[in-house]
Amino acid sequence: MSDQASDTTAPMPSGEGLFNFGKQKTIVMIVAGVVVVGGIGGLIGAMVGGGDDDKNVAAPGAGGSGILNPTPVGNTQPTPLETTEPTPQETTAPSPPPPGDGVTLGDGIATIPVPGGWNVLGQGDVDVLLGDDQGSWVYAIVGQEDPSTDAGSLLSQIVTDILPAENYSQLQLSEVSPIQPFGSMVSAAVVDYQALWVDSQGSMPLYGQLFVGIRQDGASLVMSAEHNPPEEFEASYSSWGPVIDGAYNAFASN
Amino acid sequence: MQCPECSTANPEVARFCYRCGHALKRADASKHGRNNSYVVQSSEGVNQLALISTIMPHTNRETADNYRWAMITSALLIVGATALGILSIAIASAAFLIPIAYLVYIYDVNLWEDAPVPVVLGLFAATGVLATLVSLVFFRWVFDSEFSTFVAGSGTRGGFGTLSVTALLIFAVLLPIVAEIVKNLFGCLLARRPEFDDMIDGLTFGVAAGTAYAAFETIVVFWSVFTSSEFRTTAGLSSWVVVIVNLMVVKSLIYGTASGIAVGAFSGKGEGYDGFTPHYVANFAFAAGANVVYWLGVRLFAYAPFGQVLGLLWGLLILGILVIRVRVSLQHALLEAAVEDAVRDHHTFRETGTETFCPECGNMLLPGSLFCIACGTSVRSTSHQARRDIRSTSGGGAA
Repeated sequence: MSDQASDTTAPMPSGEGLFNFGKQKTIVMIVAGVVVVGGIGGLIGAMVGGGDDDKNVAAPGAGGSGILNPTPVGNTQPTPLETTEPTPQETTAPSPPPPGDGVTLGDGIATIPVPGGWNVLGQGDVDVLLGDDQGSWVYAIVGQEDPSTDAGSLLSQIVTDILPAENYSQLQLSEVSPIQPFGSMVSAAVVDYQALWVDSQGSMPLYGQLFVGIRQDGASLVMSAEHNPPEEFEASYSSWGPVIDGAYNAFASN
Repeated sequence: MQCPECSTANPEVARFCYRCGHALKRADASKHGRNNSYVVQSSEGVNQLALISTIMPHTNRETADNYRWAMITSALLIVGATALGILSIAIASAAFLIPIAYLVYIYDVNLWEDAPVPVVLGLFAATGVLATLVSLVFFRWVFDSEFSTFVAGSGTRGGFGTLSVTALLIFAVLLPIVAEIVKNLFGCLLARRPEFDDMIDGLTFGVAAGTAYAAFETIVVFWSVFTSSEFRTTAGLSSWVVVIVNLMVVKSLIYGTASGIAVGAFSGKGEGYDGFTPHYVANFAFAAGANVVYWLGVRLFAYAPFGQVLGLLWGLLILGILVIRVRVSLQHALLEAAVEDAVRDHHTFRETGTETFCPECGNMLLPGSLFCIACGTSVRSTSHQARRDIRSTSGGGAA
């Protein structure tokens, strides 16, 4: 055993031969592999996605959704967005949601209807989040502004609060468009947006519209309607439209 | 000098028993002793947060550096692509960075030299196919509306009040458990084979399957990046950097190390596999639990300010725990198996012949060694290329 002990001090061979690849080859192979896979990913992205202008965000109301329709839901003759002087009957007629079918925000500033098939996902004193389990959800929040505030300006200020960059990646916004106010509303505006929602567990493309209405007493109602997949946003209006229309009709009637 | 642990006679100059790896010098046992010196790479401590030597146990100090630099270089390129807003490139390369590095490693150390292509690529492909199916079921086909509740309440909208308990249970509890079963499936099948029955083989299978699962799942859940109308984006890039780092490092390695622990326990210490023992069940539960805790944290932090950064830090904490667990498990398995072999005077094909050298420190190894008497590195953890040299030089180890 002592002979063996003396062997342990013998010169060693290089460790290079114990592995198939040297330092340079190891680094080059891994980096090249990553570059190749990244290139394939980029190629797929260029071929499948990027450059399709048809998918860009449309101008507000392009779908003819009739949002902020000053008539009650179900009216057979909705007033178009371009209406400049809604009649008193049109602006004050909306029926408030039946008791128990709506969520009241901010000590009665607004009541958000909850139609059948929709659920309250979360609710605070001044905001509420609704979902329909079909890829549509509506967020509403009320506040108090100077009655002379322009809804379009307010919309531009709050858009990053409602659609935070942390989650709303690749956010594309249309131009903010004023909407003819009706009832007790003195200013209203809308913006369309398309975004890729992202967090560490996944991503989801979506399309939405963000509305602001300001009442003559300074009360404001901000609502967003979103849907996934984006291409079904207009088709999903039958689901989320009544929520938006009902809420603003009730808001404008106070 | 007789080893107090296994009674093997060792040279007087030996610091570690060449059969069982026990520290023979008081200084080694107390200050740099067996309990602190990592048998896989003796220059490191057992409780050291060293990633490469943990997931690539057949590397030595020199080659581990190669992988470290390769991965750092690749990671910088990926972060660069993210900063430029070319997300399809960043996502694809981030998803496959660890699997690519692992494939190169497996070929580099000549692991499973008789059948590298069917073993490695088969394991990656089979796990990848199942990972894709599971991800499609959870994120696209069955539970897509539940996942959308996370979208609806994200950021400042709604907060914790909008958290759907059902969605949380599906995506942070059920999915990680199902995924862990998938990750274990092919690794355990391979670990049953006599030529792959060492615990290090099991660990390697688990890491490979786990990282493959992570890669394919990432591609599925971020597929919308590839189909996005924007090939290059400028909005929200800081958020994307956090997400990419999470996918590239944290998620991939949490999946890999957790599955490595479970499949390694399936292999068990020493030769022959242990199978579905209570020890395996406990380690499987630990692995699945680590994934559950990771995703629970990510989901809950998502409702807090800077939620994605907090989720990333949470993942790093979980990863650190898993790394230590792998190292402790491997340390115990290699030492306990060696002691048992030494006490029973059992010889293995993994031990050395004559005229062979320690790949870690370069000292000559004694015939029949399982450990280097100078640095204490385990021969089992040396590259298979080294073992082939050992066998060809000596005409095979002891029978």
